Amino acid sequence: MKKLLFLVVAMLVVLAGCAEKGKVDKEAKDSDADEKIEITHALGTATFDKAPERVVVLEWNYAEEVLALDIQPVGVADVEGFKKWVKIDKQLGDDVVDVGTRQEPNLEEIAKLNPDVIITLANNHGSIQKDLEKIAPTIFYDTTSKEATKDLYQTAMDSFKTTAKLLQKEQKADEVIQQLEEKYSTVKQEIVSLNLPTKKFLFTQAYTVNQAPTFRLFTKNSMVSHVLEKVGFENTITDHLDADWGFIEANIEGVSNYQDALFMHAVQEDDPLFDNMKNNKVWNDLTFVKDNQLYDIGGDTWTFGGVLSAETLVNNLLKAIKE
Amino acid sequence: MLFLLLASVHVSQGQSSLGYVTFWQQLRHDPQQMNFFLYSRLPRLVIGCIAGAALAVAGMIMQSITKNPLASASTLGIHAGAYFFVVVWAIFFPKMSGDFPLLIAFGGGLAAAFLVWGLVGRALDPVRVALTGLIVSMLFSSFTGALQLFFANEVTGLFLWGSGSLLQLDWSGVQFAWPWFTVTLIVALLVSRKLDVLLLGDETAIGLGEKVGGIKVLGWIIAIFLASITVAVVGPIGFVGIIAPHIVRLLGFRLHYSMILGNIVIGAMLLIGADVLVRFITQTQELPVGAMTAIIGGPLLIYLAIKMSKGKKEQASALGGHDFFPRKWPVVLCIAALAFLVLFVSVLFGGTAFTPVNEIVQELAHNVYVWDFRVPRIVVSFLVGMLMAAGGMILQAVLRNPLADASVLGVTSGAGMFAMILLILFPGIPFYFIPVGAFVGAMLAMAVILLFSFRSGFQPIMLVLMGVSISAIGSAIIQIIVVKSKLNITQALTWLSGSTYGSSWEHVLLAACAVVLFFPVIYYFSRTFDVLLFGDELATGIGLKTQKVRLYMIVLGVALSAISVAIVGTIGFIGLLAPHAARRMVGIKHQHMFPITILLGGILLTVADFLGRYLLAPNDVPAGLLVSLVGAPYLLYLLRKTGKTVAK
Repeated sequence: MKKLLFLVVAMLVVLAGCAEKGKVDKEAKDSDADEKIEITHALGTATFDKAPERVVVLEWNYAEEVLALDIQPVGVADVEGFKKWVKIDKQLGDDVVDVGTRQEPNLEEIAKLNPDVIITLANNHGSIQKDLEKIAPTIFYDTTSKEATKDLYQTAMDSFKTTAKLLQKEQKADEVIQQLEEKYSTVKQEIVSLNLPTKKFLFTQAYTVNQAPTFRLFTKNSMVSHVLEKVGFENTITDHLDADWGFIEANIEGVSNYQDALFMHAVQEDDPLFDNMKNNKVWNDLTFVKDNQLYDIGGDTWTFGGVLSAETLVNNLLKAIKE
Repeated sequence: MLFLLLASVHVSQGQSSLGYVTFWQQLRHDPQQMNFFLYSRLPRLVIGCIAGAALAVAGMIMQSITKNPLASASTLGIHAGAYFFVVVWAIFFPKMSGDFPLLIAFGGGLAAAFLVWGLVGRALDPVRVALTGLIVSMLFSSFTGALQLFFANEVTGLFLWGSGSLLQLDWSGVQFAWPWFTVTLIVALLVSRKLDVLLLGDETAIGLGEKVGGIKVLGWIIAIFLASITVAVVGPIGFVGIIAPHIVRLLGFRLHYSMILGNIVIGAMLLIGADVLVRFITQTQELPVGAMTAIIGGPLLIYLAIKMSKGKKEQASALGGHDFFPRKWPVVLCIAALAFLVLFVSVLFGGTAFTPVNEIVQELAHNVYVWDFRVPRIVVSFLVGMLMAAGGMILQAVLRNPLADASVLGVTSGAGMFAMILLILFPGIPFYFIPVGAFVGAMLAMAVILLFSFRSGFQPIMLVLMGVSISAIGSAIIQIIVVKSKLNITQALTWLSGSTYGSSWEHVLLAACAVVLFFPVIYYFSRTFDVLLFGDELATGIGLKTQKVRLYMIVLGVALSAISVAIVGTIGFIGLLAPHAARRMVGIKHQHMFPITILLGGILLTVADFLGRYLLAPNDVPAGLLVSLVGAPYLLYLLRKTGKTVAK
């Protein structure tokens, strides 16, 4: 029983991490003269007199958003994990306090930091909404509703803009998005000039479970897929449009359904995945393996992140393809 | 024939499955399907056959040697032991984790076998063996669980394997296993004539000049070795080893030579069949085949156990107690002081650091968050600990069963399972409805258990065996639900693992109400409990409607446990430990026992909660895990004690 729970919890740690984007219900009308900041989020509305300065973030992708706006959070859940999994241009400062796990963040540690706002994910911490709101106004984003799942890229952009509004950094946010768009178009041109055999791609984040490879195949609604389409690729998975979290899980056989494509993967360096498959006939006979169309995007590319992760993704992709 | 059909279905399954008919039609023309067939599905089939056959033969030999129809690698704890050793090896000698898997597993299997032997004694009473084996398994699992928590990075790859999976990437697993398997099997066949001798009974065999001891040892080695092969290659897979030999015997095979052959076929069929079912349920994710065998095998184990225990009235054993302290109130005072101390230390620790003692007053006065988060959590821990202890005490008294406790009886996991099912059936349901489901589930589980054990006169060991089996089935079902439903169930799972996290004053209120409502009642009836302990005749003699009283009291006990589960999730063992400790201190009079029991219960859970906050701060360790680390060994100890009482 215990063992089972740990298995599942461990899987959910990863899953929860995947939590990508918060969805903004709607931008609150803000024409009031008293300049209050009003944020409507998944579980209510929060009002601020001025831009919050001390920010605690309980989910990695929102920590990334805050960093993108040039603000250091005072506390983040599972700092070690963030550093391992999320490779982006900006770094968490050394004085950022680890406030515990993303599943059960340490309430007293959060309170001790005396934050002005807490940012998190509704489906992870909705149950402790009351507790969190005792400490500070809390913004809950939502990534699992039907609407949010439809286009996880848009959902990420929406939450980014909301976070920017909250922190009164809307101009900075526009800049970051602008830069990203420019990046897309330059990379797109470069990729065209590289004359790849196909535009179709299969993007996977994969890991080894009991010597067996498990693939997360990203579907069209995922963040990753949208980014890749912006630089001129085409997702070879055309079914499963509404996959939760933007991916389906598969083993080697499942991967074989989508083998006429460029195989892009984000696999942890210490994962023995490819070693294990070295002598696997099924794997070696897949079209992209035979044609040597494997591209290593890097295991620390956070496939569930926001603008900065998107940039990392595009950079790594270009590098991988050029090599 | 049946086997061939199963096998043909088995290899036609897979993620890029075309369906059975198409698969066989296209196999010859489609090189890719051929690849699947040859390099992924066929190895899976073969390894499944080897594992199934090995488990079945191992189970059969163990059953013959012990003359115990409930013996098998899983019921003797050999699987869990082997698995635990492998996990330990992977964590502490990561460089060598790929080497000698067979030897490590064999060592673990031997260790577990000796442990069970030592605990059960030479008589190897069937039901007791099964029970001890299952608890040894539980013990190893909770150790493994703890290791997995503390060394999460090192063992992620072992999770799925822990429940047994047939997944194969190529032929290497088969290549590794088949020589060992074949050699061992040939040895088994060679000595099968000797094994037949065991059927005659020890005296007769010795009379015929056979060296029974030597044969037994050889048999054990073969059996444990076979089980170890499967653990090393596919992980611990339960229940096949217990079911297959029974089927073979039902088919009319009697001599070992033919039984071995029969078991090879039946065992392979069972495991392949289970794997077909598993993959029928889910195609895109790997679901442990072990879960399926538990669902099939669990009920069968219960059935067999009931059959075994018939006719043999092992009467509910006396609840032994010690009267160490002739004067009770000083003891109560001491324990109360200890409780106070524990609470005090617990209050001192917040977040990641202790508050210095001289500042605590100030902190309590000024830091509102201490009151919001720390204090309610500690109070809830203490109150719920008391409720659990009281629930356990009542169940033990009413069932006259020293091993009774909501978690041991499977009531707790029944509650957990039902809460999960509720979540699946009504996905939109608010989180706070889960406790309601838990309550209903607890009652249902108890009803089932009572119904089944009614005819065996609530024999202690039977009850526990049933409880443990129900837990195994429950966790397998939860596992399948989790994989099958794509719900985001983080919260439910945290709750399931038993956590005092996020307790608020509402929880305190709920627990306090239960305490205020139930405890006076319990105290008032403490004399009745005493009477019930002495047996129905006496109780009826002094005018007690025993059946009715018993039923009410069971409902009361389960209710207490269900409330606890509803508040903090599935934390076990406190209801078992606290009353025992109390009984050892002040004897069996409930009037004296009761205050000590509840105080100890409170102390236990508060300490677990404190350690959970302290050990990995700022991260939380579920209190439930910490409790079971203490609880499982204690249960084994108790089992041994009760064994001795019965033997007298």
